[in-house]
Amino acid sequence: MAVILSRKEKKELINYLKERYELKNFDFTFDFLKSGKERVWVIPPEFNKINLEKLKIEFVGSYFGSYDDEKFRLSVEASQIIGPSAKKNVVLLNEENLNKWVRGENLKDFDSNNLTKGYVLIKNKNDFYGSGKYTGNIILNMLAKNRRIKD
Amino acid sequence: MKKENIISKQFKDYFEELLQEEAEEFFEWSLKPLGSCIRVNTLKIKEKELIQRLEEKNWKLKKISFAPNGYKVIKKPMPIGKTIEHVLGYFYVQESASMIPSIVLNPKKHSIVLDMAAAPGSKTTSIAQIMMNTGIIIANEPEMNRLRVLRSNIQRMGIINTIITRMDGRSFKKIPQKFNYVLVDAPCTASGTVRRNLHIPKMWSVKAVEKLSKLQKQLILSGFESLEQNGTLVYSTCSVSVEENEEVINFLLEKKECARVEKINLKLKKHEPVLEWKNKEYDKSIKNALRILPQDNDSEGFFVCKIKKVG
Repeated sequence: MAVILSRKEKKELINYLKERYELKNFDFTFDFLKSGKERVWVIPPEFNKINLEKLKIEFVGSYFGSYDDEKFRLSVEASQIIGPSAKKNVVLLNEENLNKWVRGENLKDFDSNNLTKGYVLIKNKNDFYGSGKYTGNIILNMLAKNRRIKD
Repeated sequence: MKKENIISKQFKDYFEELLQEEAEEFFEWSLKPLGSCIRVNTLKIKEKELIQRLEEKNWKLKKISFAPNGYKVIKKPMPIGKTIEHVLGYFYVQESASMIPSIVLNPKKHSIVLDMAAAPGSKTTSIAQIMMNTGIIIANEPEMNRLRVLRSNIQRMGIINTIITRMDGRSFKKIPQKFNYVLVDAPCTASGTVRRNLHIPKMWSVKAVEKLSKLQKQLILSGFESLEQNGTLVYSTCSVSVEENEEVINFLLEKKECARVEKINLKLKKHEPVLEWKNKEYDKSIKNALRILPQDNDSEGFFVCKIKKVG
């Protein structure tokens, strides 16, 4: 059963993301849908234009991320939306680490300045690759299997 | 492999009767390997930036004259699916002829659109790109096992304006929501896609064409009835048989007086649509449709027709 995030839940999520990634000048113009307890989707902004009667809906919008014990994990697309405005908890990968990341490997050797434990955004040059869990010494790879490069 | 081993007698007889002196060229082109094409996802990256990136990685690309953001891949250093830019959703692998239906539909921003048979999502994602992620697209796919790939492509391309439904396309005429634009990219015998799948001419049969033609007529009628007044419907198939194309359009024109075939202005080579077949004459306005054979633009074969619902 999917439900639209309440105003309070939405505010909490936005505040968390703004604080965690120090988002400057980022405006959350979209609403969110939650399915089950964890997964959150961006709803099409013009969703309310549609008469849903007799439509057999399977999915709405784009997967944004999911709640877990570290609060909230962003999808690749969500990282691409908010990443350019993020000022902290962004790890900049070199080419060697990027090759490991897109193949699903955990990262051990990286610049941990500006990182605190929890989810961090993965960046190489101007591209964002989702988020990983920074434990204090490694970054656990959370890239979905269907987004990895297979050798 | 010899042509005789790939092309069945039924396929050969049908297209010899239809294409006459051009049949041999059609068979020859249908057996030529087909190169890859990509469409730059301008929702995520600027076209110029992506092309520069790929060229720096030793890709060689050639712009497709009739498709904005479309490129033919002349040379690639690795399989396309293994490139970082593909993983990031910066481009979509799509055959050039398959880019045409969305270009012809050309929905305005903030429109309500129905893509009746959406999987794997090449046209849904290009429609979303044209609409700049505004409005709503109902991306419908009746088959459960094709929903996953549809959803995955929509996600990878960063599309947020879609609602994915799983319904029989024929039931859209009964829903209260009406659409500004409808794309009926109908299931077909795929006789235009032999270059991609050499099994098609072996499996192809007149019986399958007739069966699908009946379904296609029901789908186009359902799509047309779900259109708003002054709405636009595009009908397309990757088949080049008459019963799946001109015959279907003619059926709609006979049923619906308010249906008008519109001219398509695209700079590409094409064949004249068929206006007379098996002792039957079709509405003359069908000449405005696009009938594309593989030899026309070094692509797959395709049929595309634009229809307006007039007041």
